[in-house]
Amino acid sequence: MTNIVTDSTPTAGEIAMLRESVRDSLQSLYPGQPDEQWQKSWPTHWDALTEQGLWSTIEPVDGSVATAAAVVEELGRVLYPGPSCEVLAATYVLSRLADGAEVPGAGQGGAPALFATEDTTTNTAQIAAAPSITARLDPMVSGLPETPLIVATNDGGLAFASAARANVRETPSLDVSRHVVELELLDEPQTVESASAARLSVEGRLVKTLLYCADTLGCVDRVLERTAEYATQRTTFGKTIGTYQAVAHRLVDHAVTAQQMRLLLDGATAAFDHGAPDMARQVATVETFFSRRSSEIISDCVQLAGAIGFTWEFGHHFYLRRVVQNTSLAGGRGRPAQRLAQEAQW
Amino acid sequence: MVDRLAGSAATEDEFRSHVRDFINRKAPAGSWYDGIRVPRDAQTERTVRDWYAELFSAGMMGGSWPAEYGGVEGHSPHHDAVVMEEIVRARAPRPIDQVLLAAHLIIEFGSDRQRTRYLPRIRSAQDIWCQLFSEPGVGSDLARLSTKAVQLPDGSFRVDGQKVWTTDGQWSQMGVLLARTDSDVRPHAGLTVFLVDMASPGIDVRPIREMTGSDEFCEVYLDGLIVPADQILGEVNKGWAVVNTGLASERAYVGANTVMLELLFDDLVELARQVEYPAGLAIDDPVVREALADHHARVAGVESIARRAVDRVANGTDVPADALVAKLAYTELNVALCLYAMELAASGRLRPEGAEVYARWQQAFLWSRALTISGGSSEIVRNVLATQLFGFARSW
Repeated sequence: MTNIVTDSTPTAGEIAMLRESVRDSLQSLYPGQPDEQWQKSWPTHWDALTEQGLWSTIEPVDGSVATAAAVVEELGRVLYPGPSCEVLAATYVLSRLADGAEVPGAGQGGAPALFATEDTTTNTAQIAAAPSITARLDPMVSGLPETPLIVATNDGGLAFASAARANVRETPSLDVSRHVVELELLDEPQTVESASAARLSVEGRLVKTLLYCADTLGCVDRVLERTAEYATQRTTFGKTIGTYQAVAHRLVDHAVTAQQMRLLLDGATAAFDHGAPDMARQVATVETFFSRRSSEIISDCVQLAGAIGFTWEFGHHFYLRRVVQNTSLAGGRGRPAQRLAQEAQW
Repeated sequence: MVDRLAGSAATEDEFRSHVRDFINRKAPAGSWYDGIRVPRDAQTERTVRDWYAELFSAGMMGGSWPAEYGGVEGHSPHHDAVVMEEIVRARAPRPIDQVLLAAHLIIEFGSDRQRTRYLPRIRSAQDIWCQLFSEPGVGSDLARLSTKAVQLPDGSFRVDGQKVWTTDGQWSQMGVLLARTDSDVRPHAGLTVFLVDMASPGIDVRPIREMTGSDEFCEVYLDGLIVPADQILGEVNKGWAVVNTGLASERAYVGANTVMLELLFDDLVELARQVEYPAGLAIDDPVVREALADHHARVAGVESIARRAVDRVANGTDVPADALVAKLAYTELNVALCLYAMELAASGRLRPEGAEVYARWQQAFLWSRALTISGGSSEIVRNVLATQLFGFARSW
């Protein structure tokens, strides 16, 4: 597998500057907590983020998966409500289609294209039993009603479709920061006739996986930061709770794990950007690590913050809900491990 | 692991290849396990000493020493890291940490007489060194040690006290002793380092049998030990700074832990191939495969931590927390891998072909518990990291 190798690998300094810039913007655009309008509010600031170049951070030749991952991590930190991973993965694929194929409807009405994957658990017989449906897609964060889709199909290719011609079902989800849906396509998807379709079908899945891990890391990092800050303020028996080993030691363990998450993600995005031959295995390693640790860390941070951590207002639960959903979108805890076992060929 | 450490990849690869070739030709045959290092008999001791001497003679160790003591121009901690990684990969006897540290301290703080006298004997492996630091009453809070060294009218010092957890004490010729020379100042300020001949009257070394069945550590009784004044390393009451001097090579050795993890994981996969279930081999069982994947991901995580630590040492950008984070992550994962291996072995029938790998796991399982205790227990490491990573107030 070889993806398009760019010579635009960002330096650590460039990534740090980007983070700072994005964080400043997002803090002003998304200062509060999710409310009833949160999920549907993402188009409001779409243009502002577009102007800042967030959605083009993955486009060649200046963009890279590493850069986009840094952006998505910042979006995760503010519980960004929109389909950031789907948009960036679609941008990755569309901007690399060798013969310039364009997704029908893209750019119309301001609706960004989303990357989607065909549901591998739906078999042909099930589709045949529902004659009005041509394909089922894996759950994804919802876009606009008329959103164009670039779909990685189960036959290993790519196809164009539109959310406008689909049954949209709300997915039962803990996540209150994003609207997660399942689509059933009503029209036959339009196969992408491109020499690079098969490669980009695979790479699009990997990119989406890495970006979701970045979103998760943003959540973990933010919760750890808030919990550590709280532990330096909250006192009990005359001392801040961070002084107690029962609290401090668990936070240290979580911080060490979070450092590993960051290094693994950085390594995998760099490997991807450089077209490393084992990038699929590295991605599977990252998602396996993340899927088994992210919710545990945040769940324990709820515990370490005590009763205030259990309140709606304190807000740890928003992040817990989101990373549980991210794990679910990856197929649960088991599927990433199965993919890794397959890649490793033990 | 350290491909980026040296100047050019070609030079690095050449050096690594050279090291591998050397180890293939010179390393002693047989099975060598961490945790069973103290030679059981005279022949084994001769073999191990010869191996260490060969390493020095070939420039594999001591290469970064000053040229007059056998150092090699252009040698760097990167090369030391490569050597250590390849020794671990070959499962050959590892160089002894406290011998390397003693050499480093003598180079940094020793007099010309001390360097001339002791460094050649380290190179020839005539002298094995131990550390006389920990005491029954102090471990991680080392500065509060109570072994006293009182200066006598002739300038020499009389030492009385007890040391413990002295690795390799029973076959060491020399020891680096930390003792209290002033009780009227704050604990860190009244300590002095002495270079001690372990054959001196007044030293009684008693090996301690550990849970592995081996006796790697010793307790050492110091009763009226007389140490000449010219055996002070550095200055009187300046010992704390001496023993806390870092060794760049030692910090780069954290990279060798990644090789150890790779070996352990390979052994885990091999064990899964040697355990039979009613329906087939464990390696084909979906639950086992998921567990292997999770452990693989954990190994990759700790490798990334170690790699960062080594890179930062190489770049001169390391921070105090790096080494502690790497130690905590490595040692705790080591324990977890060993626990899982024991569970895996117990979950089915071990094929006869699996006896060798299972023997390695048994030893690793028992030894793993030493890793989270020695060199700063995980609990102490977490205490320190809580202050370094979060700025929490000290809990001690």
